[in-house]
Amino acid sequence: MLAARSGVANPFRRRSAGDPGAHPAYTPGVDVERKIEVLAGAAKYDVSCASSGSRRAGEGTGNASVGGICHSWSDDGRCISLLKILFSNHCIYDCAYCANRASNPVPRASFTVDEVVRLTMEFYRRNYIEGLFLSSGVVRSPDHTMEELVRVVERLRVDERFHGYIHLKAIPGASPDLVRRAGLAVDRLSVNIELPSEVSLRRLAPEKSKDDILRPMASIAGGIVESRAERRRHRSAPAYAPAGQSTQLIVGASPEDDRRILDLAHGLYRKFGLKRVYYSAYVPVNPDPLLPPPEGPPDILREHRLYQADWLVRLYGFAPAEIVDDARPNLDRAVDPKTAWALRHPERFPVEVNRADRDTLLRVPGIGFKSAARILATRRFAALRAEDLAPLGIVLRRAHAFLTCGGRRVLPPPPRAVAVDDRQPELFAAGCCP
Amino acid sequence: MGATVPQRFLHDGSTDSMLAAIARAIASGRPAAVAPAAEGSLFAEDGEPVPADPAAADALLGRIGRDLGGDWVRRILRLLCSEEDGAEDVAFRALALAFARGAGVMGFHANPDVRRANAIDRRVAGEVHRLKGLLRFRRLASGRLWGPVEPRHNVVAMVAPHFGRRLGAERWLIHDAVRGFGAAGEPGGAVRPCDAAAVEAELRGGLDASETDYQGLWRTYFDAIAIRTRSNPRAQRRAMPARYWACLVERPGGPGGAPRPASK
Ligand code: SF4
Repeated sequence: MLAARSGVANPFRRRSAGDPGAHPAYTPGVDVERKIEVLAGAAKYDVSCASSGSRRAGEGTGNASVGGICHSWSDDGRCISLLKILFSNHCIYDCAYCANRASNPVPRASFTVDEVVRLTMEFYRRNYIEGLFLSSGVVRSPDHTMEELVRVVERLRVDERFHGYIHLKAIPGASPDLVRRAGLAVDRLSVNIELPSEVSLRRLAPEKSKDDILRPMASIAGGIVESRAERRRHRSAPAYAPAGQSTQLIVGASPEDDRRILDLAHGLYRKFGLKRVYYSAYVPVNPDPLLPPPEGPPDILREHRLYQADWLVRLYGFAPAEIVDDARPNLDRAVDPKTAWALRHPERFPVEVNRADRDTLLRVPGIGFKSAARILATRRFAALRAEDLAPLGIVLRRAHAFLTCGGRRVLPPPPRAVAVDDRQPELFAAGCCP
Repeated sequence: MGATVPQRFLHDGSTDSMLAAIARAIASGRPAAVAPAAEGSLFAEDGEPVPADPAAADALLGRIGRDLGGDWVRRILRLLCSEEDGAEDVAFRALALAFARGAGVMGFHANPDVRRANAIDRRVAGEVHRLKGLLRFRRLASGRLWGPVEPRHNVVAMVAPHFGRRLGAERWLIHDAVRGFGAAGEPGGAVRPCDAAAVEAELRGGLDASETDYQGLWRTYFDAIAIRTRSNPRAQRRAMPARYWACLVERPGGPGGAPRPASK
């Protein structure tokens, strides 16, 4: 929707034509409002929006978010914390699953460096956003594009003295030198791995090689490790992507099963020390014989189950093989992975809520970090009674069958409590925005 | 009423009076309650009015800080500025419990007083956190950034320091449009309280000419970033209750969904 125009000139208009920083693909006369429509619209399927985990301060504007602040929630219910845009949706590549691929007849636009810098600063000052999330199609060449992105982030940090959060997507195939410069300016740097196997990558994104993706990933991982070591010695040493590295995987565009996907994610966490792997249910945008036919809505349930499983592996100490294995290569769609695991292990249950240690409690469906901590804190004062459990935040609907309290079975909650439970138990909150 | 009725200490609504009443209730050593004086004449004869007494208030805060720690001072102040019904009594009961059983008593989640105190505290802290994201500044012609808010709790003083750090190079004003006052920040991070007249004076020059353009660009962004096929108004409202929409710039709930901000 175009916002109603006021009589006042758009401050961008004056500056956009003839801007020395203008992108070669930039069409003068296309105003910023339309660019936002095209380039935010093109970036909206990118799910990684976490803006936590680093801290910057000093003179200038901004303090990178400490607690992960959401500034708004869009009409699809997702948190908006960053100005999430593509620099350009022009692309010389032709990845089958991507709306921006060269052969697609979509409206195209490119920002100038100046426009992105200005938008970021003005939105940040008005407290619309916590920072910038910048990605781009491949314009002319990976290095040419990466160079533009680096100019944006360097101008923000140096000229504008912007201390807010910046997440930059490195362009696959960009030179290590540019990746390095980017890493020194941003909070988080990521390369999308896109597809869960080399075979699928070759089939669906023929111009991008596995190496184009893994090389920058390795170089970012190296930069982070080096800079951490350096900063232990000299506190003033520059921080390299202090909020770490993440990546995104498209689920459902290619035939890999959940086990394959979780193994890959686990490997990435270990090998490159990734902060997060984001899973994105494939949204059919192009009819293509190589892709599954566009029937029905995107498989959001599968995406959701993968996040839950990822959460269990990353934070709850589960091994991937405890969740999926040869016999069960795909996650159970009917119940969450923790419940599925508990049902397969009747010998571990029921757990006595007054005696179990933290790790044991965390394996009970319906008990998360918060409720486990509350159980332990309360036990220091008095033994828990059955009626104490729900107020502690335990989701009894899921937990009751796996618990005893004072040696007695725990009863399921009355039916009304089930309706309340659409608040989503803690585990379910593990969506894309921590 | 029988002899078991707790003795009631009545405050006048100011923080100093609430703290003084709590101090009296604790010192009384018998079943007591703390309540607002204007609660209703029916019970007024049961209560003892306690006027605002800064010395008594400071003495209590000092004792809390010494015996229970700074977290408890902040917790009690959060409860008192919650402006929720009965919050002062909850603060008194939690405090009495903490003096008896130690600062760690807030972990005793099975105790109903602890649960009520924690629940109010969570709501206040939640609103503070929420406003750090949902507050929207508008550029005034004077160059100052103006952020009107309509918070449920009296939290402007708790929100302001965050913006002092965030907008170190700017002049800004957070304006509690419900209570009339505000907090103003100057370059360098200094923050000062602003009464209604000072707020009024700041707003006299109106908005900066470029302001509507940036608001339009933000609304364009807000609409462009939503995935239409995944529309989820319930999740949106759960995360961002409609009571905060009036002061936003964007229009949640689709085109025409939100009321126009009262303040433009
Ligand atoms: S390189 Fe990126 S933008 Fe270009 S077609 Fe492939 S996925 Fe799309």
